[in-house]
Amino acid sequence: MSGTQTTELVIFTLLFLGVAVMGFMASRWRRATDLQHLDEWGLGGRKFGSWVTWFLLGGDLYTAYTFVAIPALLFSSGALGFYAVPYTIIAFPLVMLPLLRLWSVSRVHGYVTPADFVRGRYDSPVLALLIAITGIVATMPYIALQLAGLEAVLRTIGLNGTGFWGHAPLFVAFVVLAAYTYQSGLRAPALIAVVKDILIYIVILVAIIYLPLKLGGWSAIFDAGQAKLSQPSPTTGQPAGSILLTANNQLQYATLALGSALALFLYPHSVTGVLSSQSRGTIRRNMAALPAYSFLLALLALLGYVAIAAGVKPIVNGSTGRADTNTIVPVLFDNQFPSWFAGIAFAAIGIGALVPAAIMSIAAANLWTRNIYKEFLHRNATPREEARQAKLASLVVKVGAVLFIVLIDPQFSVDLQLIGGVIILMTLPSVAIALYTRWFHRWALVAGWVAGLAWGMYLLYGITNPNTGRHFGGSALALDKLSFFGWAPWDGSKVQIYVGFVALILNLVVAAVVTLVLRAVGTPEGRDHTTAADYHATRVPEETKPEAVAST
Amino acid sequence: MTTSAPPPGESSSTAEESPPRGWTDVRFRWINLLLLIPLVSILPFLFNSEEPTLAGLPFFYWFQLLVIPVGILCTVAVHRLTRHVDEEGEQ
Repeated sequence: MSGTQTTELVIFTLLFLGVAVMGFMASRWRRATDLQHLDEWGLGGRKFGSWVTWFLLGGDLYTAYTFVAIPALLFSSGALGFYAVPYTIIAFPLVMLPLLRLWSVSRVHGYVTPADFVRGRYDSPVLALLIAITGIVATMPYIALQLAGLEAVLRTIGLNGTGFWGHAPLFVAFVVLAAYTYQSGLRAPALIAVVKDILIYIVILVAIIYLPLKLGGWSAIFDAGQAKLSQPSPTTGQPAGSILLTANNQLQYATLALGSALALFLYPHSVTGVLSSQSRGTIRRNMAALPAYSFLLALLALLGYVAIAAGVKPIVNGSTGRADTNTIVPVLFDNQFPSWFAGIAFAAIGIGALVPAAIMSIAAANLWTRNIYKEFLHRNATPREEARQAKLASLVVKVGAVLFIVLIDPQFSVDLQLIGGVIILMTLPSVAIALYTRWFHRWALVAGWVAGLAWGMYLLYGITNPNTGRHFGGSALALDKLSFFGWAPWDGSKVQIYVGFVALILNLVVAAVVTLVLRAVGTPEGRDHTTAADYHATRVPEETKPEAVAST
Repeated sequence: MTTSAPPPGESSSTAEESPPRGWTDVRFRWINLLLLIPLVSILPFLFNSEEPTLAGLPFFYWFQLLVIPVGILCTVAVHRLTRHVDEEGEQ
């Protein structure tokens, strides 16, 4: 380890320990009478105001993975990677009105998870179970990706060991995270998110002003980017990308941005962030203010081209022996900044991994506790038992995420995240559309979920990585691969589309057709436990008791 | 999409006794359509070009950066113009 790396490591460790102490102290922040209640541990008492919610949701949605992977995507494939910007521009305006309805109905009935809402709306434990499992399965690789971001930083600092124990620094970081999440629940990431955002803003503003000046201005940077991207790849003979979109990937760009935007607030951790806010006004203000982060994200994304212009070479991961493009931003900082500033930048990314990882594990734990444990295993669980179960579950989820990183090549974990996006999108009809209408039949929603998921997985399996030839090699599907029992309407077309979008359309069509059939034969629809007025409720009695989940 | 812009005039506000199948108390307001304006950023055929550049950034990039404040303004407009009807415990 060089001298610079020692400085970086010391600064990283100091900041990391600082936020860990904050994490433990957070349990005393706005202290509740009893933290042994799921509303307190898992939703911070449902009392977060506009500022805390802004930091919490910002920490939740703009993650370490975003900071390392989006620039890495521009670095390796050009303009397509910029999809993250329109994605975050359209997401908040689109979801604002549905989220207000979700907040109100959840507050009236004490719902903690999206699956709780589905349970109450459709009177169907099976549908709620599917929604809960979908949420947990889609969240796990997302947590794993936060770890991949953290590991990219650790390996740049020089903690690039080989084999199983090469992951040891990651284990240490994660044990600390697990301990304070267990202790303080959602209060810990809410508090730490503030520090994370301040650090990130400082680092990005400096980087985005200083680096272009040093490297000859934006035009030189884009020229360097175009020059490198247009070189043919040695394995496929095709150019890697371009700084503009091509005729074939424009549809992919649009559908990927739209699909990701619709998926964003279906993820359980985003719902946790929304339900923990204190009023509808808090959500409205946040939906207006959150796109401010998009600006940051856009600037960050452009660091991918800056890295090309600066001649950055990705680090070879000591455990897998392959170059990891996720390291390009850390390496860029390492090469271009004094070591003390690089140390701060690395801490910002590292802490940026801990905040969402904590919220995600809490959200997954809430799903397990409310919709599996209490529904199927222990119906009479007291609030205290629920909270205890959730705390234990949050530990299990984190161990699972660590296993992802240890057992699976990080490059593959990026593909898993794409699969996660397709999976979570399949809950849109049962959760988002259900906020507006109960027209779909509950069993039709199950059928649509099965059909969409199965077809989506089949299509993803069929996409091979052009460089390695492996399955699940991305989420861009050429239209000529679409065939309906042998009928291929777009035969020969090279235009690409986002798989999640295609699968969602099938999901909706199947759900609609099956609804008509079930209604014609008079299959029971179950009781709607919500009333029309619940969706606009603004004031709720202080003591909202979580509704007994098993109420039939 | 389907979730944010239900067709106008379809607001049924009372819950039927049998399982309700229509819209559940959807309160449509024309002003909400402002929320669709940011969707211009997913129509790449409108801005997929290098020229004109701004401070060295190709049009493709700075156009999308420009949509960020536009989106914020639209959302703020909807928020401010509708909150009076949304009797929420503002402090």
